[in-house]
Amino acid sequence: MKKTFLRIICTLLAATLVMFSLAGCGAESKDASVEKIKKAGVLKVGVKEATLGFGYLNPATGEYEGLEIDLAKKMAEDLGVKVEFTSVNASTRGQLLDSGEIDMVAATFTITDERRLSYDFSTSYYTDYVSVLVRNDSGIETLEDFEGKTIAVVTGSVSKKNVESNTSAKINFVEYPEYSDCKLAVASGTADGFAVDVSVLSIWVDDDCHIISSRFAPQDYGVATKKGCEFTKYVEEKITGWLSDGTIAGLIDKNGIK
Amino acid sequence: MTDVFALWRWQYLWNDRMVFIKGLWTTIIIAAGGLMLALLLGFTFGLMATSRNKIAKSFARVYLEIFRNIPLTLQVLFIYYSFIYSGVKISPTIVGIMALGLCIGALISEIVRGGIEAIPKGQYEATAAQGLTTLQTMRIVVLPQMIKIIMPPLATQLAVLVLNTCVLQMIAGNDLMYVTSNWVANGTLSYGPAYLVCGLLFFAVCYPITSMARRQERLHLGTRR
Repeated sequence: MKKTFLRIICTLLAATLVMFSLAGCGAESKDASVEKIKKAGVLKVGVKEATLGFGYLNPATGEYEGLEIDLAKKMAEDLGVKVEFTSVNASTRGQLLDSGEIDMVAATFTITDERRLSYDFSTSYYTDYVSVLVRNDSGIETLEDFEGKTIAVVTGSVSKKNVESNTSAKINFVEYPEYSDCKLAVASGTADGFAVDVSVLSIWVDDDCHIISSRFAPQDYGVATKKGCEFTKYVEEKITGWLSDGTIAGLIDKNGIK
Repeated sequence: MTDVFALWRWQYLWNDRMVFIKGLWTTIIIAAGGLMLALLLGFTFGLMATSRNKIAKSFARVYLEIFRNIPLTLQVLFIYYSFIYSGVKISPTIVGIMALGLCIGALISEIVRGGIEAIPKGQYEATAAQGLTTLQTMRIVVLPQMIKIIMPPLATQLAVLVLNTCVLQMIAGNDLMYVTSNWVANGTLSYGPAYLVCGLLFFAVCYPITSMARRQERLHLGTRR
């Protein structure tokens, strides 16, 4: 018994050590700085690939397009380097920044105080809201109209909480694993609405459905950089500059995401 | 880089420890429920596979081939979608128990079949000579010997079951992997300590099971030599 116990302890220790040493690899010298990016001749940016208007890998052209793509391209242009995009999602963007695999993230990354403990964020370049997609023939225009009706949400998302805290209407919720299922539920009439961030919803708008006018639960998107790295300051200067001279407003217009 | 495992992150993790304990509990519940279903199906279909009845035999075969040749992830999605699209409200925990029970049950039926076939033919002939019925043969002669043979692989399947609760993450199963990734995607995004602790918890549950299986196996081999 004692021997088994010892063996367990040893195994655990070994596993922990391996994890820590792996994490330590390449720790030095990978912090992004203007100088290093210029020397490398490339700005590596983590972006979304399926968020229309923000970061979208167009299957027809094979090119990324959207507000965040334009911001990254402008940033690279001002640095005088090429830009290289990496598709990221919610569970890889932070890790890739930490490892130095990418220099910055512009991927509908919501700024929160807690997240600021882990990453540096620029001033917000866009504020997204939660809203609801409905069929045109449903006659629903505000959250209150959903009294007694059903809204589809993706399992585990915060959209349900956001809807509930913004209306007194009694609404039923049905959860699906994917956005596409939610959209199908609305189209087929199984659900009366589909609630999520407007940036996500806009992909699912077609001739038969639209997004209601209610907007709630604002989320500020910011450019994230590695905590405490020198590049943060540069990004912040650029973003605030483009906010005040109307560049970003122009790009928002251009990408059709009002 | 060392910041990934910074002390303050561990403090956040400690504050939310109940999240992980609940996740682990759900995983254990799913594994326990799944095991019961899997044993039931495994023994039923294992016995059917060894019977002389052709229909029973092919039935068992179809079950085995379907569930061991399709990814568990797809099986989970299929069960989940079937329920939600037919308008039945179902908890992901029940889907987990069903999917894991069906899938591991198929693997267990193979183990049971192997266990039964490991009993030398001569013994069946001997019981027949003694006038024992098939059922008596199974109960008195075959099962007691077979249990010893199949215990180690069964225990291994239990560990597999626990680890495979991970696939429920996709349907928000509230299992340990799901709560971990959820915790990581929210708050301070402290993935370092969270994934490490998640791994250690799985290890802490499965290591005793697999090591017991190994001890059993050794014991069993020892008595046969």
